Amino acid sequence: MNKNLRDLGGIVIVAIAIWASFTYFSTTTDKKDLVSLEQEADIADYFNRQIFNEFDSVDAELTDPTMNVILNRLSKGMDTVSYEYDIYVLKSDQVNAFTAFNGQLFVFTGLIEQTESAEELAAVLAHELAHAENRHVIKNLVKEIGLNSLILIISGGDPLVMQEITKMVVSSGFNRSMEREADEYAIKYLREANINPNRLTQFFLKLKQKNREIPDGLQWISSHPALTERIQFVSENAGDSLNEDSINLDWNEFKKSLK
Amino acid sequence: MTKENYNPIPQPNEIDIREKEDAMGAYLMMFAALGAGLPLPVLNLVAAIIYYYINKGKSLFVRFHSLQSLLSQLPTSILNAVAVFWGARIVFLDYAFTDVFKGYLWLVGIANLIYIIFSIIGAVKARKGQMYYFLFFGRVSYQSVFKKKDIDTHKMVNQPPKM
Repeated sequence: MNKNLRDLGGIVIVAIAIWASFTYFSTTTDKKDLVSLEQEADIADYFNRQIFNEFDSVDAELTDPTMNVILNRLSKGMDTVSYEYDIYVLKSDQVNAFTAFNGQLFVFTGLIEQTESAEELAAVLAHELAHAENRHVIKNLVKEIGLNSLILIISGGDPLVMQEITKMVVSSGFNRSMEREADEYAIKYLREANINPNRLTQFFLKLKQKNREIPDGLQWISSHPALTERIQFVSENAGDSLNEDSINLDWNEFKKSLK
Repeated sequence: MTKENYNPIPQPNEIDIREKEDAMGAYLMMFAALGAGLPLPVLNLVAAIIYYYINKGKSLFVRFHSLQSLLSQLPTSILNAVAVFWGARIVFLDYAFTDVFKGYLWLVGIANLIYIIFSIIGAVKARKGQMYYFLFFGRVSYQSVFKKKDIDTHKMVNQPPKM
């Protein structure tokens, strides 16, 4: 009987050792370099064409000055700036913003409509910039469809597959850990750029409230997991209060100009 | 635990071909069930239990190999079931694909590989009419199958009432 216990103990210990060592020496490769920036630029071309087919965009001349002011401010808080960022405003009632490829960010007019200040939009954009800096979209696609398929698509640009990818990207289906990471980075960016990170909390809370009134068209927020959890996380990690350096923009004027 | 408590082990020349095939079948059946049971690894466990109960009355040799096959696939089936359950949570409920899970998948892979290799060896040996003892499971199966069950059990001893 003792021999049985000894053998069983041995098997259990070996199994735990295998588990622990494979966890410790994890085969995780940093997917950062799996798709090069050049390849990403190629996929961005296909993607943008698809997006502009599907949505009307607001004239860039109208939005660029405003977006550049916000972007410049945020870039002061970013430790790395991997792309030359472009922010496009798309005409739609959807309360949605998403990160695409190669530093292309898209914001819907519906979302801008919900913001009360430039700082609030900056908070949303900080979150999207964090997704971009961490290459979450590419990582997500590699996870969903595999690296080989992704490379094939990049080289082939099959319109049907691109359509599916577009849907995936627009609905910003990131997992919890990616959202958490993006929130963490957003808090850092905002603090460093002298914007109160609780602007993000403020926006979340407002949408949570709105969510009850208009359940449709809130894809951005509903697709982001566990909103209450995220509100709590951001507000707890926002740090000490800081004297916000307001962004010098006439926000109401800008919102009016979009209509 | 003296040797007298155990039934004698059958030698290859004492075992007929039918028994050898049944014993081999205990291992081979698992491969068929393993494929069918992949989405729900408990299925092959059910198949193994059924096979064991069908064959347990045939002979000690067949019963030993059936029990060894059944017991040895228990840990692998449990590991597989946990992997499926854990994986489903990641796929459907958006849980994180962590390094701990990756490490676990390696463990599951290695456990399945070891189980399959030993089962093949077990099947070949059983077909030749040989006993083959897996680590731990071999001894447990031997003790369970070959131990004489009827020693002293028929002796009735009258006891005084409990006071």
